[in-house]
Amino acid sequence: MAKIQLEGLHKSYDGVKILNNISLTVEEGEFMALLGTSGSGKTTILHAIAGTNELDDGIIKINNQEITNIPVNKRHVVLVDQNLLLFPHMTVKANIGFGLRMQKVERSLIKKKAEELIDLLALKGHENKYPHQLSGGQMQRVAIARALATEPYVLLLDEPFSKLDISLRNSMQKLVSNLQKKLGMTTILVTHDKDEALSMADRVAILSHGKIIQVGEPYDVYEHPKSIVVSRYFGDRNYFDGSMLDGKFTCSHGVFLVDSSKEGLLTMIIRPEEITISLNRKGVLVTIESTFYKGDVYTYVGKKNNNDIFFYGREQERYKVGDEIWLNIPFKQGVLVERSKHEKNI
Amino acid sequence: MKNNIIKISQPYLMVMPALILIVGIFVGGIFLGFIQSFGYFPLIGLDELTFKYYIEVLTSPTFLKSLGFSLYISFAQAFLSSVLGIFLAIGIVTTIKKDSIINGIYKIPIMIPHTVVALLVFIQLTQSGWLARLLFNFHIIKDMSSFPALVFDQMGIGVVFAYVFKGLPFITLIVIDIVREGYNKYVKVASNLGANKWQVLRHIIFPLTLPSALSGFIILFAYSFGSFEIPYLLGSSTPKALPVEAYIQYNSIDLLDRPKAMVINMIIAFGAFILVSIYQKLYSSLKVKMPGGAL
Repeated sequence: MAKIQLEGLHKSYDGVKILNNISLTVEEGEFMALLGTSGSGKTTILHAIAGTNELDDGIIKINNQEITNIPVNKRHVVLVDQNLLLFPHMTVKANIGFGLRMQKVERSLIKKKAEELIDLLALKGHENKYPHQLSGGQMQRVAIARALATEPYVLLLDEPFSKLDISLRNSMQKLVSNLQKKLGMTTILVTHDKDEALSMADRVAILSHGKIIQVGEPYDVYEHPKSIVVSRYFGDRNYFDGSMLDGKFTCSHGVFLVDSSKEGLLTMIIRPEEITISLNRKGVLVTIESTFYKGDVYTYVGKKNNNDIFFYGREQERYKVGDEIWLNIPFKQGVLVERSKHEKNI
Repeated sequence: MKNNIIKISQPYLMVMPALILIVGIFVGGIFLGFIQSFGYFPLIGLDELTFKYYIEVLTSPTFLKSLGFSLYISFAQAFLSSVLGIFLAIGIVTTIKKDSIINGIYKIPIMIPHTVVALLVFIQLTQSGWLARLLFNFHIIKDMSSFPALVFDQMGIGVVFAYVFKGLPFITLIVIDIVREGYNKYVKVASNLGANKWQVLRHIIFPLTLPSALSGFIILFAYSFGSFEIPYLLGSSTPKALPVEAYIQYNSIDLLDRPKAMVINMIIAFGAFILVSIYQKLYSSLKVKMPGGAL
């Protein structure tokens, strides 16, 4: 277990800033998820911690000791890549024991450790197989066992489940989550899957264009995004541009009392699941423009003043395109953020 | 029934023109050599099958020396080419960018004919060659004759050198993509798991290249075991490599030596056959172990 600190990390490729003053602390035994779109810099952070990528500037510390210039093989930080990269010429057992062999650990101890991990990751019966003889899930477990064998200070997971089908992904997520809790290993997961980040991590850091734009517990970042950019990571949401004055939010749908002391031009974020269909013909009248069936709910897009409003309906609340319905939009519960300079909202 | 026969024989008939060449020249030649090795050579009045020539050749000290010399040359050059070829591939991958023109230079010796290579080695390594002159001009040797005999020598240094000149880039060519893939994919993982540079070579790069390098080793061994030009042009007068010995016997004024030449040729062919079988067995067993991996 180890505490990891990133201080002012900078990295550019061909003049393009990939990391722009990244600072983050991951506590001992904590599970941190780095969430962001492709190119946001999350993988670069992992490689910087692992030592496989040189930084332009910044300091990385493990347990308050700087490791920025320590060679990759002496950092005690293991990275599980999305491509897994099991050694093709080694059996499962040899792959798992590789790190310990490199540390010149006694053979009997390597054998014992490999057997423990084979049991823990349900790989019994596959220990003498080669990687090409394994299924995707088995390869995944071997890659994780190989990483865990060396008992690293920090475990880095770079989108390790992205190439698995949904059911296998879910079971691997649970397995890794349970293992992490059981072993108490400080873990950093890079993902662009919000569900994965929210369900697995103790805290989530959201990255955009090489910067961390919000860090917090999954509930906090999901419920209380600090900006529209953060909010957009969590899928379709409604953004109402308006202004706040004396606790009142004024937008194209009316004036609403809001429990906030903020003032000025702001955007109110309301999640689709917070909007309900009004049966007593009160609220905002919209025309259904499109519907999407998503298994558990129907997603509707309603049109009002040429703007889209996303909301959900259940089986008993089925509507057709062109239907007119009333919506209860809970402006009182919305999250107020600064208006985006680049985007025009409702 | 008739249609069936036509249908089955059709592909064979279609490849027949090409097959006639292969069957006629290669298999026919082997067959003629084979029966001549058993003393059947009606042209000079030998028309009885006998083991006599095999016994004569296999008990001849000259033959045994030649066999030993051929095995030694083949092994030495294939081993040196394989080891140095892997190291050259590692050197190129780790120090030179993939799109650099230097990447192609190492392939040049592959395109040079063996006879030209023999000539180049002759120019460089004889006692009056470039190397001897260079050492003499730098006063490293007192006179040119004190330069060691590296060509026409009993150790076959010139012969081995010429083969390595051709074989080393060949091995580099067949392992370089595996080395590159090894470095691109697995070296970072291995380092991340605690391996130092030497451990990366020992546990990742060498094992990954081994199957291909071994295949290359067998090809080089088999080729030089049956190859004539280089040991003929650069080898010592004694011992001679097997193909040279066979050529001399074949060209002998006494036509009665012809069956002995064929015995030697049959032994060379048998050796090549054994090596090809080992190669195939090795290749298929490694392919089962590492499909798409290091092969």
